[in-house]
Amino acid sequence: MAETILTVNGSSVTVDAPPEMPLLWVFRDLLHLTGTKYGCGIGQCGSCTVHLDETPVRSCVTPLAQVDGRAITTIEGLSATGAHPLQEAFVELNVAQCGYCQPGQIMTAAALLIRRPNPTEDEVAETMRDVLCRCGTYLRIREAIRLTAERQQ
Amino acid sequence: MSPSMDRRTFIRSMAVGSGGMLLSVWLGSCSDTDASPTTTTQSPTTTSPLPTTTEGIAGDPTAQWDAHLLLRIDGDGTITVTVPKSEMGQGVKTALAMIVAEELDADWSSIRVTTADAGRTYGDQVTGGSLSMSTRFDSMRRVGATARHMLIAAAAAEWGIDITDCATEPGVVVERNGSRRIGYGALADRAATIEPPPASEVELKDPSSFRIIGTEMGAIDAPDIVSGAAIYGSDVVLPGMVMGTVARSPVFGGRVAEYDDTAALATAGVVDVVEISTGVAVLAESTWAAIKGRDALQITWDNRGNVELSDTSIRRTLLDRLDPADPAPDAISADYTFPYFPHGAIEPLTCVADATADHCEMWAATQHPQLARAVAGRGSSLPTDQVTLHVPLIGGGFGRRLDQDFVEEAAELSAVAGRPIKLFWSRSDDLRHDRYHPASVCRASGSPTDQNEINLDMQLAWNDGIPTGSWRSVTDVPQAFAHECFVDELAHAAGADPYEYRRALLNPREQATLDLAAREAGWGNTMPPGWGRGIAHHSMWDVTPTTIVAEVSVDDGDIRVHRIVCALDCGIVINPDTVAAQIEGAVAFALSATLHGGVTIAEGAVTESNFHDAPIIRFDEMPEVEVHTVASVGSPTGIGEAGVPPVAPAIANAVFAASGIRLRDLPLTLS
Repeated sequence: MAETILTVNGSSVTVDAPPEMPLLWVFRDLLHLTGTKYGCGIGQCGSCTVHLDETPVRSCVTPLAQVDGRAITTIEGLSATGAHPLQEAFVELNVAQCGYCQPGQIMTAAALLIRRPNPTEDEVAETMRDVLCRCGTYLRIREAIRLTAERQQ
Repeated sequence: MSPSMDRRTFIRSMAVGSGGMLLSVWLGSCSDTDASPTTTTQSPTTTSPLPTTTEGIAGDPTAQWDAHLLLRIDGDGTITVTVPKSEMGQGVKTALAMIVAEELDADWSSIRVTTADAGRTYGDQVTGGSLSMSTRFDSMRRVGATARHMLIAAAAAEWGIDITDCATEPGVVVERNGSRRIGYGALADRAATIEPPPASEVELKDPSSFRIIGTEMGAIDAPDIVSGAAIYGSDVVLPGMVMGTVARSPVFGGRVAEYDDTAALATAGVVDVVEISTGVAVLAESTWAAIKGRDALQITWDNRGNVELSDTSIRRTLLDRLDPADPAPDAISADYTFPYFPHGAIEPLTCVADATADHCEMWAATQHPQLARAVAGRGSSLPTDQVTLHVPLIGGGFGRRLDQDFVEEAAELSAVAGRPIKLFWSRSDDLRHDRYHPASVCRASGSPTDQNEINLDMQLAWNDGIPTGSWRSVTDVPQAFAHECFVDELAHAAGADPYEYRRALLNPREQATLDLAAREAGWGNTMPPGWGRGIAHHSMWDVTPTTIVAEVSVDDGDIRVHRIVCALDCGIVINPDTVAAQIEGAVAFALSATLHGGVTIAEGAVTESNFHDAPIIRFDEMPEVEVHTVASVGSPTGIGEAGVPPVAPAIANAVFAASGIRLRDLPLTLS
């Protein structure tokens, strides 16, 4: 094993893990940050999405070695109090059903709104089609992103 | 306190050591023999697919009085409702608490909700069959109303007045003709000493005065879900826990012949390899190491002759079982086919177990806690009484977690390993070792001049070598597909409008949903070339009439679903937002099956391995969904499954309207 120093949600942490271990398992098994979810393990479902700096990545296929000093943000660190405008909109519109995919949905949408503060419907669809939801919350996710974008104008 | 009794509910109260009151409610026993593990192996029938337990009083209820604490009021006014059903996104925690809060006249902001452990005194904890509202509406109302009665009695005693001179406002008892007021929290100690009133003295609200039931209440867990703090089955962490994953035979019914674990044990992080009933398990310090270790196992499987199984061979068997088509002169006939469908919840199966020599503690995201507890006892070789089973949030149920194979596997693994474990199922494990919705064929026959005499001959592959189980809306899905597509075919043969033709088949309550959906959808309005509108109706469990109108376009072989209009009658609506969400979810669930299909079985195993080759619908495939409920004062009937069955036939009928092509096989494909 090798020691790696990471910046996760603004704090510096040291993990003892092989460099090829995907970040997902570093968060879940070593740091007990369980908000980031496993869904497929091959970058197909998006439930494990986190930010490296401000870029969304699939933590299930991102090895520890690829972090390369960049700041990591997980759902637990998106806002100090759970009050990111997207999180508020998701609660307000009661988006979640089972809720399991929602951290990945929110992290993906949050990265989109950093890049494109007022995205078109096509841009939203193009981005959000990468995150699966079996409960069928897609319409409400669309509405929550639209509401958040409007409020931030 | 002596218990009071009504038809099947006992209530008693007690003080809480720290101040406050607990209201215990006996909802009838669920004995461990009723929840015996053997029920999992019974083949479901078309009408009763759920593993069953008995709800109702058996034996002496007061002998098992300790576990069923449903309502707690603390001195600070916090009210905790313990919900004996599993939350998987259907909103049961919120809805059952709303019912209690309504009759208690509670301030909603003071309500907290916890999920009950598996226990024999909660009544039937099975969460399936869309039954939670219909079976618990009365009893949860009674819990709330009884507590309110006792709080009023406590205030009346404190003030030295008659209880008829007291009333309540949210969270407060007030004096009718005076200015005195006391909060529920301040009354709780005294209320705990009051004998619960007999049922005859407990007044339930007139539904017209409901102020919580019927409002759009946000899900109680929503803030924790968006912050990542919500705990699902896979999020439970125990001190000293290791991760376990199991190599199972890819071929159904196969067994381990021999294995070599040298390379697995040499994998960094792997701590042990053990053989259990279901395969070879790798235990490791991390999930990643467990996955790598499992990849390194060398296993020879004994496939027990099951490699001959394929979905095409099973379909041929099913077709051979069909009766010949109706020979009547003007009769027409059509065959409809369904593949095996997986559940595909985004959270794969997982379970945490800590089995020692004399106790087993489990955390299982299960839809059947009592059966899970019983099989955990079997897996850990302990009596059920020595198993404690907690129920965390479920990251998608859809019927898969009515089967408890994963719970028994986890209990056995922990017992064999002699340490706490978290059992990890990969996506491929989940897809390839599901309890599938059975493949089916259905031959419909009838005459266009007599739509009341439609004959359906449905053959389902429950026991043809592939493991099967409950799947949202169960066999109502293929049945509704065949029936509603065939009604459309008869209407066409009769030269009639499918909406008008279908009306004659339905009773007035069903017709109300048909008319409402048709009106809201603009039935009969002209559509652009290449577009079509289709209609279908189904009453899930014969209690929730639901009509779907679908609008689709057909372009160059592609089917695109643009809009779904749904009208249903589910009785009193507890939470309108949940009804809408459940229909949106039903549409998404049905659309995945309708457009993307199920799994392929070849050489005795599932061919697909993940979402890339077993897709579910994505964000940009989701149609607009409009939900309309028929106003009703009838008892709630359940909405978790009602929306699914009419979706596929409405889409197939719309494809016919758009293209003139009849599609009778799922998934619907034009190529």
